[in-house]
Amino acid sequence: MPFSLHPSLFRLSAVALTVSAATSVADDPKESDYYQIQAIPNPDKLVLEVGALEHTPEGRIFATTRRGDVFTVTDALGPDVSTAKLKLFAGGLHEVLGATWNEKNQSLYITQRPEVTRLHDDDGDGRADTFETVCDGWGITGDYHEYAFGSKFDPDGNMWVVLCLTGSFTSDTEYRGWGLRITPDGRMLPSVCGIRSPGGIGFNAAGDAFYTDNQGPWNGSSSLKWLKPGSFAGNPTGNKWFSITTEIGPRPPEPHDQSRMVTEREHVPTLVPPAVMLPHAHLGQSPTAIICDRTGGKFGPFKDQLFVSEQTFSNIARVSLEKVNGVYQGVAIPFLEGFGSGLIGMTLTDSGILFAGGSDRGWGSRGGKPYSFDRVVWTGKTPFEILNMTAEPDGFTLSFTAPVNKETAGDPASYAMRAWTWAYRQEYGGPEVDQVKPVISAATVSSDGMKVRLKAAPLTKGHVHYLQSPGVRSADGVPLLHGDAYYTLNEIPASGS
Amino acid sequence: MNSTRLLPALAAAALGSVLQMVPARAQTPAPQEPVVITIKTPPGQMKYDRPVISATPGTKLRLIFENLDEMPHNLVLCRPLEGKPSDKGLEVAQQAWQMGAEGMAKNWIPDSPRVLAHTGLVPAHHKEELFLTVPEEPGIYPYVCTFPGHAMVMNGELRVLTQGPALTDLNFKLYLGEWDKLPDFSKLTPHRAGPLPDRLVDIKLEGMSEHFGVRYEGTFEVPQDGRYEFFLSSDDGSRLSIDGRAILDNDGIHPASTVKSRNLRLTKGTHRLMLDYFEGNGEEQLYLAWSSKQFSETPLSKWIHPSRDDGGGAEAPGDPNTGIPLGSQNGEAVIYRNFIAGSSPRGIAVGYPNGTNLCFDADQMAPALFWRGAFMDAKRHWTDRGSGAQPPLGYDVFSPAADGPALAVLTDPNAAWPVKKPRAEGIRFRGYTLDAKRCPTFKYDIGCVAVEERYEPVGDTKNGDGALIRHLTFTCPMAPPGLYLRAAVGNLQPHDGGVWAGQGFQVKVIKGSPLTRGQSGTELLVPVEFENNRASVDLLYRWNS
Repeated sequence: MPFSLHPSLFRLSAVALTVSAATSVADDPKESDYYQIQAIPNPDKLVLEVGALEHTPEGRIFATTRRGDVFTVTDALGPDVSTAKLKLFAGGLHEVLGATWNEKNQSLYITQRPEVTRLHDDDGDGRADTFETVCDGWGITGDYHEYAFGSKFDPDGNMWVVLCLTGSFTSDTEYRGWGLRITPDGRMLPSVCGIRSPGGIGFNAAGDAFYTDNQGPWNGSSSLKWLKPGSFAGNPTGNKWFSITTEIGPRPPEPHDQSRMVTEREHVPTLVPPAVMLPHAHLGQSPTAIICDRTGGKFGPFKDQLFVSEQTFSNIARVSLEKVNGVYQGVAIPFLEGFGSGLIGMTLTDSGILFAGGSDRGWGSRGGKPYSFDRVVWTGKTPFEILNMTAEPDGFTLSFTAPVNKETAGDPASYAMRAWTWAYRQEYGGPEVDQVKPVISAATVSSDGMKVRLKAAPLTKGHVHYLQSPGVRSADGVPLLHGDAYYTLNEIPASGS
Repeated sequence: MNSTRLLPALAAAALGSVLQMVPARAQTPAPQEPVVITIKTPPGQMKYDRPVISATPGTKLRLIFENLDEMPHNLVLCRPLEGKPSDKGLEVAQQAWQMGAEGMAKNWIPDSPRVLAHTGLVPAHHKEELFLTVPEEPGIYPYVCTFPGHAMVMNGELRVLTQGPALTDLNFKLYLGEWDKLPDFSKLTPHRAGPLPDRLVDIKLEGMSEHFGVRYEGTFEVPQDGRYEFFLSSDDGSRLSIDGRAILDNDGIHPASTVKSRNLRLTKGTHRLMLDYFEGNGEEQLYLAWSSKQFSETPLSKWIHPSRDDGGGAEAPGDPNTGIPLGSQNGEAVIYRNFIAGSSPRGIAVGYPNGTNLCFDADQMAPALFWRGAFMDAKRHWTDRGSGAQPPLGYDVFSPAADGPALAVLTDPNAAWPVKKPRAEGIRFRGYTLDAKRCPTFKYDIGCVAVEERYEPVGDTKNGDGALIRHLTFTCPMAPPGLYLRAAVGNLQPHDGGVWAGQGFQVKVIKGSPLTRGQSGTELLVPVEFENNRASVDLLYRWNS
């Protein structure tokens, strides 16, 4: 969900989608050749405003909703989606935006507005009978904006909960604007401060937690942020709660207004820059769920990469991270669009079927439907895509999912680059500033045709480097399915590293 | 039952909702066509679905009264009470109650000169029609159910109003663009321009919903020298100018939550109006109206601000609720967890199969509200962003002891009860389990004491005897001395059989030794007495009648 000040502040502008049209021909590959969006049948017209999705090892899906229901979905993994069946597992909950399954005690742990709750079906009739409060240690005032998003379990068995501020500009009760860890025995560990308006939480392949934060005060654009325990995520509104906890040390100094993230990192030692900016109005406007592809290739070639869903644009982006100088950074690339409503929840089964659902209630979305619940199935064909983009001291390395045509991929004129950042400021959102136009002077193709080394200058620390690759063709002569890549260069690797 | 009553004494007049009045501003409806208004009684809510209807003098009315409730109701339209513009018809209802045994036979219609029109006593799931006209005299004409006990909550008012003039001319210029505040439209080139033949401000010009602006220019006729008030509300920004002077500024990005107004003196004759508007993103709305001493607030825009809408045309035909009513189904309880007015934000509302309801406050560990009839309307929380707290949908709401925690350790029996805090101290909520009928047992700890709290539905609200028995059990390896439950507080009066009557309710200690204290009000406490590390208390809560 966008969780922003007002819908009028969203800019559904089309500036992001101006590239690569020139190379378009009738038989250009399209997303649905590789990934197909299939609606989960809903014959009873249940109001499925999906808030979170989870799956069990044997393939049962749980869909929680903003209306406070939890549905089970069975028989949804077969070749024909029409066999899927929905059943009410629990109701009467308060806007459920997190769900994680505990196989050991056969319980679903959901995050609702006031608490984390363990749901268990005691009598085996398919409906939950136990609604055990695991942790309700944070405050709620009754403001609609105080969303609580819950993660799946981390490798230590903890859950993360990220708490939206009260509205956009205040933190009116305990821990609004914080990330909390809930231990298996229900203790609450305040772990990260500086959160504004989260849309989802997930983990990367290494088990580190990340969340999406929406454009707004202190967020020039939406982004994917690392929930590094003890860190400050950038919005100081909730830092008043250092008055009641010493869990992560002393209160960090206030960032200076109208500054830059890269400058304030010098001033505020615990400030962790967004791992990946999800440039506002390019990739979306309100990022939500994060999932990691741990299927080992069952969902296509993007092993261990992240997928980030979008509420306003009703799409999914792909993110690949690397750590440079101890800080996460990486690339965001469009992945799949055309969902029926604003996406909020996702889960990816071990068998490689992605479930994605959401609602546009209160904010609107490109999908246009009030809610949607779909699965995404990989057709088995590999799209020609930029597999990864990593930083080099003097440019970037691109890897591809299939061998490139060496002539086109080796020509610097096949690429274009632009770089910018956003003001780091209290005011809501903000324009792209400090524009730079790096020149790509060389594009060197590896002997196997799977990689291209780009030399680009100047590189600017803290800037998003937006690469377009309209001229690149595969060895088979096919253009990239998505030629745009947004690399967030928090750190420039040192030479020889 | 005779389903039609005609009141021949009254002259023709129009009766319509605000939306139905819209055509009347621009053109007069055919004189013989009666305006149809339907008033319903939603199930279990002890109210009319339309608390306000409006009428302009001059047209016939066909009023359909549809009783969707489980009990009989009537609708008695009354003349205004002299000197008391709206007494809600209570004086007439009072006379009905005094009819005694013959009341039922006469459909509880008293012989009063104030009765203007009435239905009979309409049984559950029946309807009746009235053909009538309303007086020429403007005023507020209450309508009320005179069935004994209903009038306090079951009433409404017919506003007989005269309408002000519509605009005499109106044109628009439509602009495309993205703004955070109103641009200077005079420096921009319009995308399209033209007249608005029905002379109502309308933003649905090309079905556009974002990134556009409109300048409206028109004229209006002021009937006589005097003061006139203008009303403006918009999502997003707008500015109203009269005769070239800006009088109302509502610029910026915001929802149309408030209506701004400005009073100004105008001379008789033609005046110019200019209204600038822009829409960024999301919802788009624009409301413009004017009023004077001679006429009521008259919309000059197609869209009617919700605070002005009496519910006339907005609802779907045949739908007794504009909301999303929830309730017990298939003999099972229903739970609704959200922001409930009268509880902390951690309210858990439960609708029981016997037509009783409560809201358990998981901050105070106390029942914040009891009510009967319909359960909850989820519309507020299940549409748009869901802001605000929602009160119960039913009726006869009471709060036996909402102001503070239900349980406390007192150092001596006369120690003051702890004051309410945002979250009760030393108390931890543990959630609930559901039984076979999906009725919850709430669980929480107070210090080392584990408490289980369950409400057992008894009787049935349909028969007037629906009630709830509150069962509390306490377990503790080291029972603390001085643990008390506060069962009720307020102006409690003792009745026979250990029953105490409070404001709108009765409570009886079934299991436990009641203890009352207090000077101004009364607190009904029950000491929690442990035996073998366990204790239990049972209380009955019921309504007065």
